Amino acid sequence: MIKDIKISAYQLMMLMMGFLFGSTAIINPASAAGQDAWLVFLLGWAEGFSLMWLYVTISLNYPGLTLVEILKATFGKYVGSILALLYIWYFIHLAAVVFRNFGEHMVITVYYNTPMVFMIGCFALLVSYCLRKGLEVTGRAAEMLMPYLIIILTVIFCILIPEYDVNRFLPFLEKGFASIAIDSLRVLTLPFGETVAFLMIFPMLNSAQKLKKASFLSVFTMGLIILGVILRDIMSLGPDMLMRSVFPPSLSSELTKGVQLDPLVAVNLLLGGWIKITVLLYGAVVGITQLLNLNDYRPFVLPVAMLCVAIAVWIYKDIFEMFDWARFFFPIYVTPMQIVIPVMILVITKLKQLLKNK
Amino acid sequence: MVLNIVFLSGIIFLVLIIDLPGIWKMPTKKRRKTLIAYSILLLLGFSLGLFLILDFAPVSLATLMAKILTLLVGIEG
Repeated sequence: MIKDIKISAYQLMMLMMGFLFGSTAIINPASAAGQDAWLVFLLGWAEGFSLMWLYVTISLNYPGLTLVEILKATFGKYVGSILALLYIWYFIHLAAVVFRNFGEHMVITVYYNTPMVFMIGCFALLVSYCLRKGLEVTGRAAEMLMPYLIIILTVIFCILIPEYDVNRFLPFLEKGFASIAIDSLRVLTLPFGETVAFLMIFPMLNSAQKLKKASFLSVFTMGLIILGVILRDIMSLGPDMLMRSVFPPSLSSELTKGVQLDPLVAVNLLLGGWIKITVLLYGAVVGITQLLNLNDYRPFVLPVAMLCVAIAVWIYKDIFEMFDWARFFFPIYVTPMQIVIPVMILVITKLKQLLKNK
Repeated sequence: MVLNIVFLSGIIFLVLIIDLPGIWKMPTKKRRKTLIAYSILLLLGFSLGLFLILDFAPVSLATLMAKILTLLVGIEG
């Protein structure tokens, strides 16, 4: 059932692009660096390519296997299963975080009087429907809708041109390069490191030869787009406002006189967030299914989505805790799942191959 | 509050109506495993939802995890 699902390289690319954009539609991962945010992102983007190489290499070393199966094959049945459980939790937790980002944004900027749980619940219903229909459906929808996301971003970028001031990039490297390098690690973990979830999807690609090309191309394209968003925010808002505003992209879209662009930002979040949550929940339910040696993941979709909604409501006290967590604890929390364990998988695999050749 | 609990129970009931026919068609061994995992997940979601409605949920998950990370890694937010 799970292995029957096949997606094309273009669909994978669109899914990955939507996934990378995800919460970045409203949260600027490099905003803490002020006027140097673009440099922080450039560095994080370059590091993101190396992380993508790591994930693609792992997948190519284990053709047809998902992350859960790779973990079992590398670390053995028991340790592999414990690590698989850790990843399932990570996917569920991350999906809840994106649900909460979406809910907070909608309640703060558009639907002031609507309870957040209702917004998140409706979104969860949409994601569950997509998942129950299969990943191909999400792939096809992403193929159809992602160009709109790019068009919307281009429109916002162009409309804001009169508000741009290039002097807002100055002073250059005010906090020094060390600070930039440290901040770039935050960009590495959000959004690039999160693509570790695609290790659950790579085996569904209909031609494995296109995996490398599709993955790198999506990281390149979406990196370019996010860089454009960051440049837009710096030039239109300035470093001070960029650091202080809750949702910089929303704020910059409000600068135009006579045109209300904020709903377009919300549409972007809806598109990116929907793809991101769908991929993460897919990873979680397929992980549970494979951990238990079952064939059908669909019975787990609704309970996991419901659990995610409950966690999304519980996860933060308020929006300040949400940003505090994203800034200080998120990079440390996700490093084992995004970097340490994948590096260990690759090292163990290479060692096993070396021993086998001897 | 009562209305919220009724609403939450209604959602659980709906989820069961949607999922159970599919689970029932599975072979016995797989059905048993699926039912156990399914019940655990549904129970977790329901109890967390109930705790939130009754205002019994202890601290936020982020605070809890931040405390654990501070203990393990030693960083302060």
